[in-house]
Amino acid sequence: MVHPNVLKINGYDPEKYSGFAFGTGLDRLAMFKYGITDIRLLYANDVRFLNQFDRKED
Amino acid sequence: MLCSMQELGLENKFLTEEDKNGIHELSKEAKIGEDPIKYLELEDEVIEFELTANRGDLLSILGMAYEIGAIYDKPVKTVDTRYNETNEDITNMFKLNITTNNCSIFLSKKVKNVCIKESPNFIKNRLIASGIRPINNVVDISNYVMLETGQPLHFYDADTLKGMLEVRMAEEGENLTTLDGIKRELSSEDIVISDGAKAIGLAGVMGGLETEVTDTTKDIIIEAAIFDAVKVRCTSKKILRSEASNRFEKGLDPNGTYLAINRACHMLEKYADAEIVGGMAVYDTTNKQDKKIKITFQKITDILGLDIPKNSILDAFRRLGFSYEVKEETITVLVPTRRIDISIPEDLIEEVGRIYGVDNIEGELPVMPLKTGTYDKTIRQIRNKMIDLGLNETLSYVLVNDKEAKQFIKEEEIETLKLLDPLTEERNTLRASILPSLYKIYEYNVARNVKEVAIFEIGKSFYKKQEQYEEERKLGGLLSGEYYKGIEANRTVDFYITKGIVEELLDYLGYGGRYSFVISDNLPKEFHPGQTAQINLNGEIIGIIGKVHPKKANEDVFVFEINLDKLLEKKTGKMKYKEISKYPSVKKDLSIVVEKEMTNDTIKRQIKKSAGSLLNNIKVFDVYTGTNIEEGKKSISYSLEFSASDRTLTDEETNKILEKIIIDLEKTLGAKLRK
Repeated sequence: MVHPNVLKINGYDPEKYSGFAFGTGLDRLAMFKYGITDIRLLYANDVRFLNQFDRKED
Repeated sequence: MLCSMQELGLENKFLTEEDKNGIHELSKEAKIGEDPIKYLELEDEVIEFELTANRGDLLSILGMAYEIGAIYDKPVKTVDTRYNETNEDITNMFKLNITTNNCSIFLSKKVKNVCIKESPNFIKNRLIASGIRPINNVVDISNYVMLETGQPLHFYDADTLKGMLEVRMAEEGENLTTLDGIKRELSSEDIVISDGAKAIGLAGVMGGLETEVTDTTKDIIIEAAIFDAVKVRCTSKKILRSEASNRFEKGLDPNGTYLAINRACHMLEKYADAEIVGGMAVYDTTNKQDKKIKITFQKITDILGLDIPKNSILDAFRRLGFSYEVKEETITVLVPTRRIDISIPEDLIEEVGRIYGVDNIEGELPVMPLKTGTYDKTIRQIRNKMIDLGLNETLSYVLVNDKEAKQFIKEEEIETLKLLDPLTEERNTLRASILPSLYKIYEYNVARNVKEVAIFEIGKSFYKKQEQYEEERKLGGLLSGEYYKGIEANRTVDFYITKGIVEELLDYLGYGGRYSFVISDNLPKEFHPGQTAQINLNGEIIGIIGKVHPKKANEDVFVFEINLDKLLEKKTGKMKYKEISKYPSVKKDLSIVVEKEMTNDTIKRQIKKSAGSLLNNIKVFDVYTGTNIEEGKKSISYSLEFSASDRTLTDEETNKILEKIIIDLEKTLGAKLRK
């Protein structure tokens, strides 16, 4: 839940409104899906890595 | 077999000098052939927790026990703090002088005649399991009590003090040699402990070398205090992070300060044969009462979106060790000081949710009217076009180092944005261009012997121009090595391929015929001045394309960058069918000689202007320099196609247009018809 101070700063009355924030790690989901063993590969931009994702899947 | 401790897998930093140099002798009861782990009392499990920053109270075994007690609904056993005292009174022989309000509580006890030796195994092994090196029983007890209670302690050799401790802000430039033997220079923002004359400890961070407990120490002064969390954080960030500073930074419980100092006395009596001097030197400005927070049942169920029964809510508070009073619909909760993170009703709601169990909250989709989105597909289309043209998409951090950030931009025109407080110097500046990121990726791949690099990235760039902060979406591309092996083998990337990719994209996006490539002598220094152009769309510069300067790149590397915000604000309109002429078109060729520097773009525009609406296609088919062409000039040949929608053009008509084109070219561009 969003902290009432954050709501206040952004001009919402915390007595009236509540906020909910969430995030999913897309990179981690991709690791599961493709069996990637090191999360840094997703940001290293090694062409040998990038070239493996160049086609349509079933 | 004989084994050293190292061979059993204990890290070197945890071993005594004897253990490092030789074998370790087990007790007499140890039977040959049995597991030594048992006799070394190393049979233990270590669980590592990753804590949220607001839960400093969990940086201790006791805090963790309260938490686990609440989760499993078990009572918490607190620590033994009993000890005997001598008839003396510390306040008669030892004074405190606190002159800064950055210290809210300072407690001191004195203990005498300690016997310094090796700690019992259980203390040593628990310290090792927590990553702390055992030293001797006395030093180990200060660390052990910190791990137990969360309150860092400091022990001074009483003989090195002058009957007092003072807490004050350091003087600007004041020096102090810390326990690790390093001489530190302090500022007036650092809190120090002093002996009345000079600094002897860096409050909350590390003690001083001069007053440390040594093998010959007899009497000890114990310090248990709380220093301002922000001040300690700033000092420790500047000087050194320690187990102590990590705890001070997150805030401490003043009741825990009393608990810790008494626990230390108990342990020193038990494991170091200390005599505890009566009384305690106390400076205390803290509030040690439970925090009172009022909340209603309704508010709890509203925020959690869950109908928790009233008794389950009260049960959560009971398990957490919070007492409460209920009056009609309002609960007044009394929160112990150990829970420094709880201060408003919402914090209590979080506790109820946690203890009730997030897993017990059933998922439910919201019911609300949905509107179709207004997702702009353009970016995806650009991405797909780039991929179709054989480029790989990259993703890189918008933070680069300050040197990289200054590349591929005109430093005189825009200012890069450096972070005030970067996590690492490698990522201390926001990129003003995508190209430094792409060039770094190129270098990364070349270093791994991958020479075919064709990449693009769509991302944000940031800079300041004329006191104005700008954030722009850009498309950057980089090509090197052989291009698109699948279709055209052995074609090495050159300026024409790079330009072709940019043209293909701009045409696809609907800007065909509206852009041009303009030569400029005002280029970032990373570009090759002879093989670089700015991309002009409707009179505005929207990008750059060119070769990386050979001073920077050993191989041929071509890059382009387009400001997508500027590009996409230009409307492209709808497609409309234009009637195809039923009459055959007429083709004419035109060869002219112009200055070598003259661009095709300039000539083409002039031809179109002179020709008018009957010209429907124009293409270069040859560029020539050499024999028969004057030095400094070039010949360039165009194929022109004319047609009209209502008649077949006569030779006479087209020749007339051609004549006009030639005259205009001569007049405006100084071109000569090649005979």
